Formats: sequence, C-alpha cells, structure tokens
Amino acid sequence: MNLDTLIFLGLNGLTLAALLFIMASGLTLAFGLMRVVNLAHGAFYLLGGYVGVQVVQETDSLALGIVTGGMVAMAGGVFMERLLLQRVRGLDLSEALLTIAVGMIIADGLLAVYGGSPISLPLPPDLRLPMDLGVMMYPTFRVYIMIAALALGVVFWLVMTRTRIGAAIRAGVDDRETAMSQGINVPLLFAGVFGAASFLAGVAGVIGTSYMSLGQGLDVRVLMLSLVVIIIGGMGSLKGAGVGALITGLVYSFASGYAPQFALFFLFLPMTLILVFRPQGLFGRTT
Amino acid sequence: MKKLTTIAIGSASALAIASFVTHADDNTLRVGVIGPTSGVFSFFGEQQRMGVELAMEEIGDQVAGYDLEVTFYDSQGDPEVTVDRLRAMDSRDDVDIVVGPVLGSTGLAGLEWAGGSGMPTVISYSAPEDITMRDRVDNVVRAGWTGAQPMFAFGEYVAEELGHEDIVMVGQDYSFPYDQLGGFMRGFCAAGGNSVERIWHPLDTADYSSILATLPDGDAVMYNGAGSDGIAFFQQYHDFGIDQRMPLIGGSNFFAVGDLPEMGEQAKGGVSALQYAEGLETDNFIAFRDAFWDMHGEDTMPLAPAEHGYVALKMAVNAVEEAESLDREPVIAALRDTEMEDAPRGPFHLDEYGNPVQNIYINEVKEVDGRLVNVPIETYEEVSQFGPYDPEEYMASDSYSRDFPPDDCSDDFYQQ
Repeated sequence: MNLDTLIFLGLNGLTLAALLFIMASGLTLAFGLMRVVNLAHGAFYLLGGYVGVQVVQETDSLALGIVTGGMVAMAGGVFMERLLLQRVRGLDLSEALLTIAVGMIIADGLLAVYGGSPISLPLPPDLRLPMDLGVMMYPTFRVYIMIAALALGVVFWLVMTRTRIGAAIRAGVDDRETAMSQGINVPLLFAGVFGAASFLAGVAGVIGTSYMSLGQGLDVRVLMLSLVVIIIGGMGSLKGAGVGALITGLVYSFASGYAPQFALFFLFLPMTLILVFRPQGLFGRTT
Repeated sequence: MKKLTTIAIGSASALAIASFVTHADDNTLRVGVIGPTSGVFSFFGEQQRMGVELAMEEIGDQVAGYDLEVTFYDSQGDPEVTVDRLRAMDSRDDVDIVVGPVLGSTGLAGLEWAGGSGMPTVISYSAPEDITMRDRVDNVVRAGWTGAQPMFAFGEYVAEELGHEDIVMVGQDYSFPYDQLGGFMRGFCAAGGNSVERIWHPLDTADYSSILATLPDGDAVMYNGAGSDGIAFFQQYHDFGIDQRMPLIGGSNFFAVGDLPEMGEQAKGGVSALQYAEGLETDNFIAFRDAFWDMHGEDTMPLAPAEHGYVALKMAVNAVEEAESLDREPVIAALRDTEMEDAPRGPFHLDEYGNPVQNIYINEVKEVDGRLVNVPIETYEEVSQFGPYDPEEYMASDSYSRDFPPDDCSDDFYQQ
C-alpha cells in the first residue's frame, strides 16, 4: 500500500461520489418536499443515458447529448409527476408502487427500442487523455465529472440560501402545512424540483456512460446506490447527499481496490450501521 | 348436474387424447428451437434464430420423407420459462427434437428437464461442462462447447507463443468464468506458465477504477468475462493507460460476442480463443457467411451462437435421416454418432459423452473490410472437452470453482 495507490483510490472514490451526488441530490430534495421516494429515478438515468448517447453518436456533440439526455428525462419526470403521481398524492404505498411501475415500463421500453446489448459513450479523444493533477495523471473527463458535481453543489447552495425559490423549498421541507398556509404553492414547487431531479438523473446517465457501460439492469444498481447515499446522509438533506455520496464513493473505491469480492458488503456496511445507530441519517431530522 | 360435468370432462379428455394420438401419428418432423429471443440476452437468441433459419432454407421442407416443421420458442433467458416452454413442446406441440437452449443457466435447466422426459435434445451455445460430463444423460448432446474447452489451448498458447509466465486475471464471479479459468490454468501450467493471480468481482460491477488502481504486476492481464462488465473494464483499462504497461487478453467471449463495435479501434490486437472465428477463410465458412448475409443482411455478422444454432438443426435433421424414423431411440443413437465434416467452423465429431471434438482457434482482433473481426492466427485441431486429459480422471476431480484449480503452477495438482 503506497501513497500513489491511495491517491489513485481516493480520486476514483471522488469520481464515483461526484456521479452519485448528481443522482442523489435531486432525489433527496424531492423526498424532503413531498415524502415521495422516486423509485423510477434509476430508470431516468437509463432513459437519459440511451437518448443522450444516441444524440452524441449522431451529432458528435457531447454537450448536446448531455442536454438532450437531461431534457428527455426531465420530460419523463414532469409527465409522471403531473399526470400520475398527483392522482395518488398522500398514499405512501400507491406512490411507491407507481414509481416502481413507471421505472419498469421505461426500462422495458428502452429494452424494446435499444436492445439488450450494452453500449458505451464515444467521447472526444482529448477528454480520454490523462490530465496532470500534480499528484498523478488522471483521465481528463473524470476530472470534469468531479468539477461538474462541485459546481452543482455550489449552485444548489446558492439557490437554497440566496433565492426566494430556495427559501420556499427550505420552508416546504421543514414544514409543508405551514409553508402552504403562508401562500407557498408547494405542489407546484414540487413539480419543479421533481423535474430538476429527473433532469440531473438524465445528465448523470450520459456522463456516467463515459466510463461505465450502459445496459439493462444498471437502472436498478444506480438507484440502489443513490438510496444508500440518501439513507446515510439523511433523507431530505442536501448536505447529507453530499456527505453520503463521499462516504459511499470512497468506501466503494477502497473496498473494490483491496477486497473486490466483498465490495458490495462494504458498500452496505455504513448504511446498515447508520440505520441501526442513527436511523434518520447523518443530517436528517426525526419527524 | 355432477354427472353431466363428469361426462363433459370425460369426453373432453377422450377427445384430447384422441387428437393427441392422431397428431403423433402424422408424417411431420417437428423441431422446437428454444433461445432468448426477447429480453436482455436477446442478442444470443436472435443469432441462434438467424442461424437456424439459414439451415431451414438449405434443408428444404422434406427430411427422409417427413415434412419438416420448425417452431421457435422464447426462453426470455430465464430457466423457469425455459422449462415451461420445453414442457409445452413435449406435451402440447408434440415436438420430436429440441434445439437449444442457449445460455448457461437455461442449458442446465433444459438438461434437468430432458433427463426426465427423454426428449432428444441438441444443446447449442450453452456451455456448462457438466451437461456433457458429470450430469450427462443419453438423450442430450451438444453442438457447441464447454467453458474450459477453448481455454486449454489458449493457456498453452499464452505460455508458449506469447511467453507470458505470470498472468493477472480479473473475472466475473460465477460459474462460467470459473470453467474458463480452469481450462486456462491446466493448459498454461502444463506449457510452462508460472502463476495466475485471480481477482473476482461481483457480476454487474460498473466501476473498475479501483480494481485497476491496485492491479498487481504481471506479464499480461486476462479479463475473464464479457457483456457490459467487459466493455466497462475494457474502457477503463485504456483510460488509465494500463495497456501501456501490460497487454490485455480475453476469455472466450470478451472480444467475440458483438461487443467489438463498442470497444472500437483499441480492441485491435486483442487475443482470445474459441471454437469459432468470424474471420475464418475456409470455403465452408465463407459459403456459410455469404449465405447468412444474403438472408439477413451484411450488417449482421454471424457469430458463434448463430453457427451453433445452424449446426444444431443440421445435426437433428441428419439424425432423422440416418435413423429413418422419429422414434426416440434410433434418433438419439444417430445423434450421438454425429460427424460433421463440413461445419462452417471446421470439421467435428462428438465424443462418447456427446460434446464436439473440434478445432480451437486462437483469434486476434483485426480490421477486415472496415469492420473489426476475430481472425484465427493459430489452430489447435481435434480438441475435446477434456483437452489432453483422460476423461475419467478429469471428471473425478472437483468442478472448477472460485479457487480451484490452484493459482500456482508448482502445486501438486499440476504435477500428475
């Protein structure tokens, strides 16, 4: 075990953490506002990924692919929220089952359209080249993924602390009834947050495919990781999503570096401990 | 009322039985082809279907005086569905011979069912070795391969021709890669290899960066797996520039099964081994490939599952011609005697356990006419599922597992 390896493993963990944060931040906010666990979140990752990769293949424009992937997923999310979720508002079980059903329909639809063979994202060669980070050479696009997540975190922080919308979201998360009685349209706010969350899931689908191949079944695994992240961090907490993503990413990276056979065991260990000793998560509040 | 019901049920069953009997008496050879034509593994099932369709066209609709009728069944890649379909073939559709299944798990499920039903079965691409080894039954033969079969030769080639002594293997943690590594280790150690360090990862691992970060040193890395895991590993292996340090070689499916377009240019020079190569240039193969392209279009390259489906149907039809009957006993006897001089992959015959003794090709990925294909660079002839080993001794040893055979070539296991 030498320093280079540790830095290498650390950077790998941060890359995964970045991707997980992009996925989990929207999921956790949507949960905080309306207590809806969107179990179709992984399917939006898949949807955005497939559509985005196709766009990149046909136009050779990575940016266009990322935006299109995000937009398609957002359209799916808004559609699901406005037309379906609203009808079962407040029924926990129905909401959860509905999102599972939508997730399965999306995944099966993608299977019918794109087939079962895994695909990868054709990145511009420049992005594949390693970048000198001072401590080691690391693939450029992975560095960009980390920067993107960091930027997203900053934007989220600014929106949440400096804008009226952010204040309204915080009020809705803290106390939905009171916020509504103050004239904040929480259901509409929720639709917006839900759309943004789906957008981010779609974006994650495109950029995640830069190094993980995209295929059937990945939706469930990505969803599972995102849930681990928000359970560790505390459901509804953005800060929690960030810290949860860091813990999950780094634990997974070091575990698969030193004990790949037990990678999944170590992945779920922190979540299990958190659930036993602090069920509301690191930054969650008991309700 | 009750009496009426009884009569109704009684006459209905009598009718059913009567219709069954007339059905069985007619002059039609019914072949049921089973494979995953929908779902995640549809690539394999579709390949088989296309191969079978080509064989149908060549055979025509008459076989030894019988009308040939081929029906396709979708296993969805699921062992339970497979068994349901097989039961339906036997009891409802009066199928005479089964071709398939295609995948490992469905093959084992099919074997178990076939053992009980006595149905003559030609398993196509499914590769668990015990289908034609420790759990073999009389009425099941195979048109394809066992997981270890191509790897004896590959191990030998890697040690002797490539001169690698220490291999680092990264593989998917389930039975097929165990079989592949088992065959590899035997050939590799016998030919002067030194050791294989193995790193097993759970199926569907998407992120390999940390496995790559702690990758031990060796002469070469072998990725023992395929599919989305294989593509992700391949991609990340190159992202981190490990290809500059150690060459990457593959298990049988790594470069072979349709993933080459996703891997792209960097796959060139990749070496693996299989009983099939889409870059073969024999007359038989080119005739097969061109006919396949005429039928299904040049965009689809016939790969091993297609050829195995094609050959499996021909084996079934030949057996009926040989037996001149649809009775199971003579058909099974004829199936077990199969010799195919003109198979697209090269000549083969079945060993006494029902698995092909065939050529194994060491393949290298090359660009031919603008597409990436596996081109044979070395041929090992007449390789059986036991490699150079005595069948009884081979079957007496344990099945391959996560840590069997041992990873050090100086172990007693290799000194026999």
